[in-house]
Amino acid sequence: MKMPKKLRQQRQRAQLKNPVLINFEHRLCISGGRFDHKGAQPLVEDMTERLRCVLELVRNNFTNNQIEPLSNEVIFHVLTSILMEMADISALIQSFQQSEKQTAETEYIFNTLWQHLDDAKEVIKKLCRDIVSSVIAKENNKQTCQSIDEVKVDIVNINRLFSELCQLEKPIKNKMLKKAG
Amino acid sequence: MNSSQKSNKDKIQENESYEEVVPYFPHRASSDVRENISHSILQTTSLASLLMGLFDTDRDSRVDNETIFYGITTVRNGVEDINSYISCVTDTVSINASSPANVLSVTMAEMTGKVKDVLDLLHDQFGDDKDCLLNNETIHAIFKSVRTDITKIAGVADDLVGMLEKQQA
Repeated sequence: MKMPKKLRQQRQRAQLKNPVLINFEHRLCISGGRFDHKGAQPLVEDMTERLRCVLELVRNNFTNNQIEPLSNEVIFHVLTSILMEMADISALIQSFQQSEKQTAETEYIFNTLWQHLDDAKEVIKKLCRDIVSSVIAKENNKQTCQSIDEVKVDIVNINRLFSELCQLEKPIKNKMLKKAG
Repeated sequence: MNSSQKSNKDKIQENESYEEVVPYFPHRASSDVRENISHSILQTTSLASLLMGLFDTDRDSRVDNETIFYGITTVRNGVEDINSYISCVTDTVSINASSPANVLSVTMAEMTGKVKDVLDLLHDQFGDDKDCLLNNETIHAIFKSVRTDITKIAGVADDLVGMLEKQQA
């Protein structure tokens, strides 16, 4: 039986508003319909590299006297894209944590990971606030560069910890499913 | 418990764990498609401006190749995001082959494809330790054109989403 037009329209609208439908294949790492921690490792490595490099570019914009500084608005959008990428890493860590049997060791590593990520996010958010309130100026950028360096250290640590987690035991759910298969 | 019951239970477990561990990106997917696209465009063009600024001066002032390489990857991912947002709309609404929406959809795909190709070519220039063969002026012009193209994509995307929203209403 054909679905009534009104219901069909409602369903289409609902689908359009459903965020899960958006395909972020280029940012995902799912193997056979499940989160794949082996696929996630190179992805997180790439993400952290990208973050480190974009932060380096922002830092360069503040320190290099040979290049024309960008407007605060442009820097703000770049910082927003950094925050988005950090949220991508959050999503991957969260999925990994959900698929992992928690031991004392992994719990400690996950906690440290979240700590680094939260610290990094906090610094970038502060930079965003400073940019909006025009606190950051090209002449007085020492503190800004210091903050960016701190974030870069956090990013490197996130990558290191994630790799460490991936080298530990296989996620219990994947193990269980393998057994079931 | 017989074997079919057991396999059903396993299937349920599999489905449960599948739903549980699929990463999703709520921060990239607000309910407003236009807003998603607009944010993505602003971020991508700003990143392109950041990279463009490097090539406005002498070669000495450049950052290292690796930084530029990953910078270009970030811009490319931004273009992919815009594609994803558009696909989310075009996949859920049926588009008539002879409609203007289809023309816009094809134009969008062509434009994003071209931008990605240009970025890939530029990417290769910085992919290894060799010196980039292009001079600063050329790279600056390429980034400028990429930025302009992304802005044009924004315009077409806005028209397309508007058209499809009208069609849905």
